[in-house]
Amino acid sequence: MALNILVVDDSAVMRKIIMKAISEGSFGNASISEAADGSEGLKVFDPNKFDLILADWNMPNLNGLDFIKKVREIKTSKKIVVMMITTEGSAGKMEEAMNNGADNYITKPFTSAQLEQKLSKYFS
Amino acid sequence: MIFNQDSKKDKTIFNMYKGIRLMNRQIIEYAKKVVNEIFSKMIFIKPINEKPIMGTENSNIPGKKDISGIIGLGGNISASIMVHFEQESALRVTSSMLGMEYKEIDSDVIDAVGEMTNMIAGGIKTELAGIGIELDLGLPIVVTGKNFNTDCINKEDSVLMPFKIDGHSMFVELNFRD
Repeated sequence: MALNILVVDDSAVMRKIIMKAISEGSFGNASISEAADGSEGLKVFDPNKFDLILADWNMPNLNGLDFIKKVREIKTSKKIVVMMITTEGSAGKMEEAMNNGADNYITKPFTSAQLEQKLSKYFS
Repeated sequence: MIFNQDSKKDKTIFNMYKGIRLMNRQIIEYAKKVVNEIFSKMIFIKPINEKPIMGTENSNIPGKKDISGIIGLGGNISASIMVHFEQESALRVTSSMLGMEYKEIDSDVIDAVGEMTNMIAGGIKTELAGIGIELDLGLPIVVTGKNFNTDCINKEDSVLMPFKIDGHSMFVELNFRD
């Protein structure tokens, strides 16, 4: 079954890079939606649709951490994997993300292979 | 970084950085590492880094700049990081990142320069967090045009790191104040 993925990043270029990496890999049949910040992400978010959310941390309007906190308050019909994709790579930041609803974490810069490896932990 | 004065390689590096404050030497090493990692993982071009230019010497960037990303950091120390590109280097970086050719500075190129600035600052921030210096990262802004100047208050402490991208210029300007 094809994955439904929501990519939330204020950089259109980074969204394109992420979508290109996914579409060229093992999850190439995924359906990908995008949002330019956490606030827009909440509008696009459908609790019964998405399997995976990839969210940047440092965004205007509503940052990634507050976005995933709000997502986790919403009742969903299935387990949604939330992964932060951000330059904030310190151990303290990772712990903060995990304590607030993130399942995993990938730091920019990353390779397509690193992204795929992270996704493979949750989806086959 | 600890320099070994008995090592020929380290002595060369030490002389290159002579006169640069200790903190800046450390941050230069972090910046080099971070820039090389970004190019290796996401841009697939090997940047050539040249000798850093110090403080007030860098008031005139050697070579033109057509687009600059600027980001501020605050916390234990305050800082700004600027990344300056000539048009051709910005186009090459964006083209390589996205796997398609860009021939002029458009919204994607502006966005890519902002993201490069963000990744360089984020990488340096992460390295500094590893030695106990915690900083908060602002959002990057990008300036583009002809004959614009970028300046900072503590110019004497700033460092300009020149890189060549396929023969074209990119500069990382570090302004850290403790």
